[in-house]
Amino acid sequence: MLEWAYPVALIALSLVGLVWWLHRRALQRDSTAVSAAFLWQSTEHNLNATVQHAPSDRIWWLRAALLAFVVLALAKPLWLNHGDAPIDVWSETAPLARVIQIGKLSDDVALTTLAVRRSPIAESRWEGLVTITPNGTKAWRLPLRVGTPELIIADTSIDVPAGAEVVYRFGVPASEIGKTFTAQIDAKDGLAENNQLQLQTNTLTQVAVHLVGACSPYVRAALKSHPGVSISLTEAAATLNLVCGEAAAPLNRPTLTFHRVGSSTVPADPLRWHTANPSLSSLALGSQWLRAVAPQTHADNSVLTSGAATLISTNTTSPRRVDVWFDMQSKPLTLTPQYPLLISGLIELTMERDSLDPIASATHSREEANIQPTPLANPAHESHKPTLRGDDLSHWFIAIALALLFVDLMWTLRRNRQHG
Amino acid sequence: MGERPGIDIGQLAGLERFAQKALRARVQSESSRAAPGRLRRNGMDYAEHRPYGHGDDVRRIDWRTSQRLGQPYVRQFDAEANADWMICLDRSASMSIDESSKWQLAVQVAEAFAYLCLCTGQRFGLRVFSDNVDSACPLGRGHAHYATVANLLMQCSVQNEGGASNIHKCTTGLRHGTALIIISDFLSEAGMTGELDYLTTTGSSAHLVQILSPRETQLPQADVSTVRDIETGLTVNIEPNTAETTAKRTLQRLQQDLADTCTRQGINFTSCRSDEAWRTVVLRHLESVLGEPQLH
Repeated sequence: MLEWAYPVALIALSLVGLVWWLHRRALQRDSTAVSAAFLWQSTEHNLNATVQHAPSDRIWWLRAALLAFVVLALAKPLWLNHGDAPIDVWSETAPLARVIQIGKLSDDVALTTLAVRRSPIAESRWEGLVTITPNGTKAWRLPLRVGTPELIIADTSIDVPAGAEVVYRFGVPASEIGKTFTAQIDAKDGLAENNQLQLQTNTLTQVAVHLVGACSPYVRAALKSHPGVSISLTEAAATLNLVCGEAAAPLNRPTLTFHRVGSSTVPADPLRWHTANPSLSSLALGSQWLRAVAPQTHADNSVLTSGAATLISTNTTSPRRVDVWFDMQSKPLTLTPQYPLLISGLIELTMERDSLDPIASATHSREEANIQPTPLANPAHESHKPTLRGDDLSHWFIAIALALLFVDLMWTLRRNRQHG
Repeated sequence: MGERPGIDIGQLAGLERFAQKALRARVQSESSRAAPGRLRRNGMDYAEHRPYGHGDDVRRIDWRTSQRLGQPYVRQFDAEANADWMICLDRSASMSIDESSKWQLAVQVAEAFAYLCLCTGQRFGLRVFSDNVDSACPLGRGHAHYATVANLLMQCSVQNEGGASNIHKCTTGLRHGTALIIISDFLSEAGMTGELDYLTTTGSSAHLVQILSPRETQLPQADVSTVRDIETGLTVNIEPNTAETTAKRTLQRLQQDLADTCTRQGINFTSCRSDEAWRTVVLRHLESVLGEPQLH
């Protein structure tokens, strides 16, 4: 069926009457004006036969049709296929004023935090906590279960008042550290995905250091005094290589290397840390304690510099590698109180985790637990222009108009030739 | 439209005395309609006697004449010189033919008559009309009033299309007895009979000055097959070979009918061509009023 993309343009069809009027005006100009037409009437002829309006020039039909086709082309006629347009047009042009929401808001309660850490009071004990966050106006009484695959650590009911966040603490056996903890609440709420949390605690275990090369007693003593570090007796059980000198170490784990230096010099420029690790960046290290800066032979990231010289560097690939380019096994550095803190910070830098007081935690975003519907935009304020799709016929109308124009030109030229 | 030449007041000087006689209104005042004392105070001149008729005031009976003639006679009086003149100028589109030569002459004639009225102490006014009265200057006298009328004549213009010569509109609101000078081409298919009859019923004297163009019945080109009425827009298909002859014949008949009607109605009528001088036209009309040639 035929539709118009711009039906307003069809108003211009009224100009066809203007063409007729202008044409008659032109005809009048072609006639000779006299003071009184009755003087020229022949008495021998019937008045009705001679006094008349000028005969209409058929050419005005042609020009009116030309104008009509141009107007129709401007209105952009579209031939729409059956079955598509009516629904499209209806759906796009239906005056939707309001979308009504049905259904009620559903309450939700979520496990937002599961964390495990060493007890700050008793070094040999571990603690855990879960945080339960309700949404909505409902109070909950929830069964809570926390455990590892081998052990149920906590199994209790928790009262969660409406709008109040609840924190539940529990003790963690040291034997379970390093395993995967799971916390779950049994709630018939709107979102079941946030009723469970899992936590990997392998980061809470001690760093097992495998010593490679001839490490000085100072190094061994610092390692033994570190509560989060242990010296691994076997290479297979180690989680960190500590290389003293230039010996080769297995590359399948993080490696901390104390390079042997060739000469004995003191860094001339002040030391500067280039790391976000708080154990290192806040460590006040004096350049006068350092000896023998080795030349750099690689382009890794600098952690500690003295002017242009890199004193500690790391790599950017995995496993992590940290290289120390000054003497870590000689005085006076080994006698400073900063020495064990330096080793602890270097271990944390290499392992990329806290070694003294690690905390393992898993969370669910509080915003993700919010299932309140977002306000909808008022459809009445949105202007939507319907778009019609169909076969554009305007080029046919333009072609017809051009043909009529050609005929008009030919007719006018012929008439002018006849009249000389 | 070319520059409209004004009238030469000097040329009018010679006509002034002549106009005194010609333009004096001769309103027949029936003695039965007014008391003799009032008539005297108004300066009414004795004109003639006539036999006593039914309804006449018996105080108007001239007993001496009645005794002499053996039957009752009453006196009739003429009004003095002061009369009102309304100059009516036709500005319909037919007056614009032939490069508005008809209109130019009509304006000059109107201005000349206005000046003559001024010189003779008459009250005069101007109405420029077509379908309606398009411009008007009320009755007045004096040089200032003449200047007003002359300015109005200078400002008004002829219509290029349309309009019709509606003479009835010229008499609307005029006092009984106001004389009319109508300047037009009087081209009406009906011959103006009805309009002229209407004029006579108003009790006024009327003067008609018809202005026609020598090209009124000439075609600009030989191959013209359609003519269009400049006022009504009606078109007529014509036979080029015989059209001019037909038009001339019709115009002559029209002129003759108009002259006959005016004669019958006692209306002073003058016909002229647009290529004549205004003085010639005015003089011819005054001569026709007085019935004899006075000046050349």
